[in-house]
Amino acid sequence: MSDEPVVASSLEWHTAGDPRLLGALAGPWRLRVGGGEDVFRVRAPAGFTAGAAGPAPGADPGALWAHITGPARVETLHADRVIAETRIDAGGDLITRTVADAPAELLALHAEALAAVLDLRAAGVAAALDGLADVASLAPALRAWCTDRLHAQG
Amino acid sequence: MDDHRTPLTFNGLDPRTGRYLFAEQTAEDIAAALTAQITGKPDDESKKHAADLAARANTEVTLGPIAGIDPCSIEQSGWCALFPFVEPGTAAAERQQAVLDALKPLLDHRQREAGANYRLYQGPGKGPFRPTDSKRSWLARHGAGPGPADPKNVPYYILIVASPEEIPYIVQYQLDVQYAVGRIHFETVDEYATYARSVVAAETGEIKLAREVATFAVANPDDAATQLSSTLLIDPLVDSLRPLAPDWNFRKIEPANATKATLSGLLHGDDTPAVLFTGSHGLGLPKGDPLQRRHQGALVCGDWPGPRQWRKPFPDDFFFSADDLASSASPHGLIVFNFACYGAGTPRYNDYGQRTGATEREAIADAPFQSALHQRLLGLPRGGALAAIGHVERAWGCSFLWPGTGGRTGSAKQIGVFVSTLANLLEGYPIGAALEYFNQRYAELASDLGVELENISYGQEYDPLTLADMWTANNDARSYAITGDPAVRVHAAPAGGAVKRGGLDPIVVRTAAVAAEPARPAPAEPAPAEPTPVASAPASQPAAAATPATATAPYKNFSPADDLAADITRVFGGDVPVTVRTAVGDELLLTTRIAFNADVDHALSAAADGPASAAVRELHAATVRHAQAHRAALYAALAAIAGKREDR
Repeated sequence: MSDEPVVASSLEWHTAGDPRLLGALAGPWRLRVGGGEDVFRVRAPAGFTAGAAGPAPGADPGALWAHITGPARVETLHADRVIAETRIDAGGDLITRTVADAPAELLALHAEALAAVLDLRAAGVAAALDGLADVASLAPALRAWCTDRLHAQG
Repeated sequence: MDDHRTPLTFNGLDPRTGRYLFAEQTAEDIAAALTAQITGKPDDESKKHAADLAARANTEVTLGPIAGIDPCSIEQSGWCALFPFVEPGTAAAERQQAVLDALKPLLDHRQREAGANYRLYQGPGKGPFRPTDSKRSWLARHGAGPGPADPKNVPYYILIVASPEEIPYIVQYQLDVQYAVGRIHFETVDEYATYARSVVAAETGEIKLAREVATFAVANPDDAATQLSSTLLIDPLVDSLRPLAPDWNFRKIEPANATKATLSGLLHGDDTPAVLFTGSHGLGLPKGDPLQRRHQGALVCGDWPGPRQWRKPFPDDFFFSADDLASSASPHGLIVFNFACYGAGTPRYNDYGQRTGATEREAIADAPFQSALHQRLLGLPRGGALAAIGHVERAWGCSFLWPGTGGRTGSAKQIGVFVSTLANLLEGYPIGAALEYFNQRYAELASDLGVELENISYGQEYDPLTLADMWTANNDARSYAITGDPAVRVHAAPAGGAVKRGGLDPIVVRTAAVAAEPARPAPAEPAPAEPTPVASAPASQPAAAATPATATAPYKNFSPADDLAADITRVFGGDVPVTVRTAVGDELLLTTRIAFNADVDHALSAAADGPASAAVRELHAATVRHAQAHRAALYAALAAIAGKREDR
């Protein structure tokens, strides 16, 4: 999704999910277990190129699906101060808040980090679907996901 | 309480700032500007038209068809469709032929009704409206001069099938004085087809609606315009109609309940009345704003807490626009009257330039256009509204308040045209004939103004305040317009009779957009306030067929065959747009809604203290791109899984 390299000193994926489930997807993101919703934290500035996330062999597709499509947050920090934050809700809506004096370079970094996170989530969905031995097994989770999204807009 | 000294309030709000479209003007301000202009050159066409009306005012008692013709009889009054001229062999001619084909069921239906008094003004001959035509020249070519409609020359009911750029609004106003005129203009051939089907189905007995009129009265706190329209238009309107239509039920939505959610319920089908009258502000956006075509005339609901409590950009929650009508909505048979700024459409030029003393016409839009909400209401695939009445340009308080009638200098309500129009509509009159009261009022005001201007030109002293009111009222009065076929009427069950309603099966013609002008972005699809079951797609029409023609390649092969697949199609097929928002601190600056068909609706909400910086805009744009790509990736994965299910 993103052609340009993301530059960051560290990439942390804070998650309550099972590391065995998410490890294969994590790529350059360092998994840190704990918290509620997933938080992807980018600390500027050091070198980093977003890598493609791979499939998650042996993972429970239903659990992976449920986790990877849940709410998440992407934060870009500079000197421990959050410069920009994007919340991804379960319906896929995105809201980004930045500080008033955010440097343009860090906003660009945040955009690239967000692209990498969305890539990762899409790869997670693909992995969940690819891993299905029986397509029907995912139907309840998928149906619940569709219902949530349809009702969320009411 | 009827005595008001501020009759020049008007309805219009700018969603980018959350403030009124225009600064308040007193009658004195307007009069000063108008006085300066009277010595200049008012618009020639308007002057001729006013003089024409002034001359006829003394000789004609009624406006409409000639004596002996029943305006309620399509056979006697006649019906025609008027198209713009297009060069044969061009892409425009091809588009027009596709529209003609889509409308065939309606044209055939009207031909059966009107018989010898049916006309189709289309094709290479003298029939259609040419770019060089005026109302007079077009009528003259068909043997009609000024005066009441004689169906032997030109039928009384005229359906304009053209954008207001192809056949201007001024021609519609002028024809409407003696004829019953409506207009349809859709972006896609599908919508023409679905509208034609909705009308024919309604008129061949497929629906019998409950005899219910709903009124939706918005009265936002601290807002004089809606306080007045609620108490001095809608309340007395219902009181006046009850005795005139005793077998009708009147459901008043009071201001406290006049929310977007309530309006959504009224327009989505299950709770839709036969007739709906709304009074509210309408949104207005400046020329060049990417959202102008989509949101101009959207109805501001009671959710807006008023000008004192809200001084920043509007969230979507405050207004109801075309975006808020889901494809599953089926207000089939509804006739709606929206009293709001730009409720029916927007002209290219400011109709009230006289108020500022402008010597040149000020463009307020790149091109004139119809209200997207009205277009959407009529073009809904499961059965839409039959017609909508609204106002082109800003709507003014003088539509229902008249200076000098409430005391020595005050204004009192004058709602006779509203009462009479709705009473006739409920009585079963075709909407074009029912609206003649508005046209008569326009003719009266135009003739009064014409006489006044003539006297002034000979040096007569005049009262600038009165003249300002007359000029504004004239332009306000002419601008009530019908979106839809002017021959449609309310299809209600007999008093105490069985009610019959229900959504039609969606039909899809599967043709590309036909708009002659630059296409506006397709509306993002919302879900209704209360989600309704997805209609089962007929076997010959897989649900994927409803996917817009602009869908990107991977989506086109997705042909879901069960409920889960239908849900996926709903999620990605437009019922659930993705919204991307960007804020600096707590101030929301940019909003973009993304529909599945890859059309992007940029809603740029300027900050109260200045626009977003280039870096913030770039961040927002990048987020939109990434969100689109993410959505496409999700859909591709889901389409693949649906394919696996089909292969079982």
